[in-house]
Amino acid sequence: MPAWIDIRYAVRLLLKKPLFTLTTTAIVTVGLALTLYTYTLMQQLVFKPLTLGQDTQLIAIAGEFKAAHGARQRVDPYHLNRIQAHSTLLQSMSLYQSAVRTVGRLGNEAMSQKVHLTYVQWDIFEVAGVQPLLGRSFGPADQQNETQSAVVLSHDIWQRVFDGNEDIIGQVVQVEAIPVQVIGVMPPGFAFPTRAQVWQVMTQTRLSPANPSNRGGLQAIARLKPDVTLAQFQHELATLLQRQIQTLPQEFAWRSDVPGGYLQAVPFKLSVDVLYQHYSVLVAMMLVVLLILLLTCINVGNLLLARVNEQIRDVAIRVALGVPQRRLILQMLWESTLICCFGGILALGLAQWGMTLTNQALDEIFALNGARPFWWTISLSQDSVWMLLGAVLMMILITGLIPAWRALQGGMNGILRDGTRGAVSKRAGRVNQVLVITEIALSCVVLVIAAMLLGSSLAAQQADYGVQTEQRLTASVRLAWGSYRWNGGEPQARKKRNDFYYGLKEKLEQLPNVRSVAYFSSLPGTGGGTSHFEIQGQAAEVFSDNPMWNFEVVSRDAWRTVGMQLLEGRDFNLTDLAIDSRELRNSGSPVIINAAMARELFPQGSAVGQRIRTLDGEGWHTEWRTIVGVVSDSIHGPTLNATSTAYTGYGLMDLRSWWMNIVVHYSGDESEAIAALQQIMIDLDADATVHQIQSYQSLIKQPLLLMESLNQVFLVGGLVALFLAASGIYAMSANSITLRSQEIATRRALGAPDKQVVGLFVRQALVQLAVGLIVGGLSALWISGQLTGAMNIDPHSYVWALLGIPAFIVLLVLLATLLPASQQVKAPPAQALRQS
Amino acid sequence: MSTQYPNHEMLVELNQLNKVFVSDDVETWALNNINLRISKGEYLAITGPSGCGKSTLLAQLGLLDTPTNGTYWLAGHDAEQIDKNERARIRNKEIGFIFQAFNLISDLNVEDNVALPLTYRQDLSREQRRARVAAALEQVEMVHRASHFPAQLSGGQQQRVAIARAIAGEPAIILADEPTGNLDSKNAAAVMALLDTLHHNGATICMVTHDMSSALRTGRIIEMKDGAIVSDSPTSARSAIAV
Repeated sequence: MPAWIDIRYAVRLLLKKPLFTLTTTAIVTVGLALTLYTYTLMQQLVFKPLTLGQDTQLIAIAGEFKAAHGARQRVDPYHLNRIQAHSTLLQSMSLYQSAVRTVGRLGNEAMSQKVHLTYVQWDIFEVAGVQPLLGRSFGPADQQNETQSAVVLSHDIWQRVFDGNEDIIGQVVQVEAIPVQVIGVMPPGFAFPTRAQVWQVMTQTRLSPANPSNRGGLQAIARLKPDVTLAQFQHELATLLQRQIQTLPQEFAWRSDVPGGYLQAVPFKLSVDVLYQHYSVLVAMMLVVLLILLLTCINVGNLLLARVNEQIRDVAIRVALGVPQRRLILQMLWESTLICCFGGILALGLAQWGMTLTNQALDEIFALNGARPFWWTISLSQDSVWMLLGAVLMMILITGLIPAWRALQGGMNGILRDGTRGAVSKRAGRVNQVLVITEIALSCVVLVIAAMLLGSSLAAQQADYGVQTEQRLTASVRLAWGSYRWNGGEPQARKKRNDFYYGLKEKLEQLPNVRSVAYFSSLPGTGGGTSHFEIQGQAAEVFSDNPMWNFEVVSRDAWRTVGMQLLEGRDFNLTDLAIDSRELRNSGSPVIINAAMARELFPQGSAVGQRIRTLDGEGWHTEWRTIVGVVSDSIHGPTLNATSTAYTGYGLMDLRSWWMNIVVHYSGDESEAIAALQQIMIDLDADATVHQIQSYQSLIKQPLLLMESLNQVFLVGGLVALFLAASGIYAMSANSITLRSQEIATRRALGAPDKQVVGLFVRQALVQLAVGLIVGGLSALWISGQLTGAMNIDPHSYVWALLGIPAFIVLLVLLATLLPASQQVKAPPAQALRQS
Repeated sequence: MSTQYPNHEMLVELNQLNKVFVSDDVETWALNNINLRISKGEYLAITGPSGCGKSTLLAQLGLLDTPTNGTYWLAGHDAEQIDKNERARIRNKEIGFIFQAFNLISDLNVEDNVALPLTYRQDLSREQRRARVAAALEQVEMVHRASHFPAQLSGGQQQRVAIARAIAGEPAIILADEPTGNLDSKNAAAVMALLDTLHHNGATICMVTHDMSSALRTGRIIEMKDGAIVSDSPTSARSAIAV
């Protein structure tokens, strides 16, 4: 019964001041919604272990992530095989390699579709714990069959490419124009390990390579035995690798150049490179959101505190009437409980809406390349609901206990006797100061980080990549593996590829609406990744002191097609296009470098004629390349990525690639250019396929989309933080001045000029500002330091955030001090004394 | 205790002074046609029932509020003609306040509380301020508590500190609003004795009080009702009536 009375009292209080109730509920809703949304997003994208319905989590064993290259170190299958054979902590383990291939009906190459195909060991589905919907899973015999490979189709590919034909099992289809047999169809939604649409069993030869050139993007997926931790396995992994290197047989001695710790075990979700690379950004985001939640709690707590200060006489009367302390606290808590619970319900809806928008954004981001990991669909989970309940509970406690503490601060006799609302005890005053300082520090951290990330993201979107993107069409041109076998690189194979690539270019350039055509391994604005290189005669003593560059291969006419200029030396010529690669090596492969590299590394004279080569820390290096020209600057990779560099070297497309990015500079209508490209591709070779046709502008935007989406969360977080900071700091400062209204009135009665009274509060605010900004600024610096490993913080954004945000907070605090203090000194002292 | 009214030099002069509060279209005449003169060295009490306008009158006397109309002269200054800053300066230099709720600043110790009004003055050096604070504390016998904070003092002690703060600036007039209202009888008697002493030493004191025994210690009693002065007579006359 008393609880019911207290609830009714709390409801009455809330209804009495609807604006206050609306404001506090809105703050609670926004804070909780942002926390719930970000928690759910992070859990499902990264932090919640992937189990696929089993008790043990899936882990990845992969090459160490090389930040400079923006990719993982290549893995020797020999090592993975040995780990598979000797580990005592793994329950199961299977190897796989992701790829993009074309799949279609036999004899109907033109209708082939580009799919994410995963080459797998036969037991991959055993590790996943999922069996096919139709047909059978792979068996050991499939792996031994070197003549015809077996494939399993995803439900989606079965439906889309093979019309859901139930007789598909046993049929022969083609992958890259090579016949393969379909043995099964997986259940809907199954895309294990990440985004697979077709699974093809790996042959034994592929799994046991005998030479180092076969090192590839092989990865392993495994389940740990129950009660085994990832750290324990990581230790075992390092020990096993070390032991293997020491006991290598002579014929595998070349493997000893692999450092012992190059393999790492990570929770499977973190094996997605873009997440691993931006892990610190994600952690920073979680941190920022938690700080926002804390800000929310403090703000709402402060609003309730201010209200208790207004009602302190009522509270004193209740105390005088003998209300037990516990009951008084409960009364305070009911008000917070109602606000927080209602806010929590609204937050649930708001977060759900945010998730729907995110899923739509992810659909859009991955519409072209389909590279979306299967678990990247955001929805409310049981964990999220528990988290929300926890956050609501925490909020109730913080926002309820702050005013309850004030109410129980004693001095009730004085309050009853004097009726003074403005009298504040020394301790209450200190607590208020601490709250203001905390608010300033938290706001500083949140706003600085949000401003840095948003500024950097915006700068990346508006960056000058050094190319012209208007009226440029880009696409990925892929030769069918079966029709363009390399066979060791004999001249016929090279000629066939050469004929295709340059044939396509010439045919397109004959069209009246096509100005020029070129190929790039990665077009400026995309790709990226860096390696060390040395200049002949100028090698650094320590390998890592050598400069880094990004190396790309291009076709003839590359510069003209993307609007770059040759500034010095010569372009690639027909001599460079020599078919025989040995001849090419002997004469020194030509390389063209960008202007920044020429200017900064060869300041004394011309770069043309100098020789450079790429190298790594393990003694490996390419042949010397001779610089034959200098072109205008361009940036490869989004400027947001830490792997982007100002130095780029271009080699001539050496025709080993069985796929290249084509760029078509056209005039007139884009759709005509697209149709022409597709038609000429079919005319030239029906086995070759063209994918991801899009404008150059949209191609440049593509790698930024994911970070852009994450930054949208930061933007919302930043705006919420801005609102919370502005309103919170104002409310805190105003409240702290209101609490001292009696002191102000007394000082004025004693003859203090108004300017001095206001000045007193400004001075105190400045001290609080200094403490808050130092703490907040240092924390922001530390967090931004953690982020620089994962992304490039735009220098302008960095400076603006570090100077602008504190300046904004200073302005805010001064305003929040001056306005209420001026208000206080505006009224006659007698009125203030009477009110206080 | 003899009253020097009306023979001494005039310090305060109120003529036809009114104060009207307007709220929700309702006019409340807090002060109604007040005429009052206070001479230098006088010791007077303003009495009357709650809500009769005593404290409002004191606020007018202390330049804490402005009248709706009428004139007020304080120590030769026309209150109507002086700006906010000058009012603050006059409050600081010419007036000493003693409040019922003491109104000490909780963050400042006793010494700093007493020194507070002096810090707003430009004409005193640090040494002079220190000397005045020491003298004021000695007068109220609170030297031994100089470094204590208000929360560490009893009500009586706090009021003594407030009195020290009021006299430290050597004001022309001390305005005391129910100075014993928050004190027990023992402490109230001690505070009243202190005010008596100050008066003996030449201070002009105007005190608002409910307590007739306190009022009878002064030389003149002004009685108010419904915002108007209903009687203004020397205490001796009251004493005679009482006898």
